Amino acid sequence: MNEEIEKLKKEYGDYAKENGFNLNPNEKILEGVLNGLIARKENFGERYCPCRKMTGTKKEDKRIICPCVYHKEEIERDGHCFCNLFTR
Amino acid sequence: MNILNDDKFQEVISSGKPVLLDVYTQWCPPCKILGPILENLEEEYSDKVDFYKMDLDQNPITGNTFGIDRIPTVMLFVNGEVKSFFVGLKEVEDIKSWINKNI
Repeated sequence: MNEEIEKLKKEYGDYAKENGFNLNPNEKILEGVLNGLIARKENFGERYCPCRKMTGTKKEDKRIICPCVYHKEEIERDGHCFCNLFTR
Repeated sequence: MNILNDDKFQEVISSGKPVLLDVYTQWCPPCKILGPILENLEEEYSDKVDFYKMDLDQNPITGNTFGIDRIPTVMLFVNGEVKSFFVGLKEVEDIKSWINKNI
C-alpha cells in the first residue's frame, strides 16, 4: 500500500506542478484521499473521486476519474478541489 | 451519532425534533474530518436536534431522492422537510451558526 501511495504522490504531484497548482500539503488529508482513490480503483476499476457519488454509468462516471473534470474550476474558485487533493 | 438507513429515513425525519443528517461514505477523507466535528456538536444540541449519519453507498434511495452527488452532504430536516443543507467541510462555528439559524 505504501508503495502505491508514493507512486500516486509522484504522479499527482507531477500533474499538479505541470498545471500550476499543488498537492495538499496536509499529509493526513492527502493520504486519506489517495487511500480513497486506491480503494475505488480496487472496487470499481478506476480511480473515481472518493468524494463524489458514482452513478454506475461508465460514461458519466468517467467525469469523476481523478483528476476529475471539475478540479481546475474548483481550485480557481475555492483554492482547492472538492476532495482536497489539489490546492492552489 | 446514530446510523440511519433508507428503511427508517422517513420515520426518523418525521419524528418531531429537527434532524441533522450527515451523509458520508467510508472512503471520503473530508467526511472523516467532518464526522468528529458533528459528533462533538451532538451533545451540545442534544435537547434541540437529533443527529444521524448515513452511508451513501449503502443507502442509494435517500441519495437519489435528494440528488446527492458529493460527500459529505449535511442536511437539516425540520417538520419532515429539508430546511437547509451544505456540502463539504465547514468550520465548527459556521456549522453552529447554520444550525441555530435553521432550527
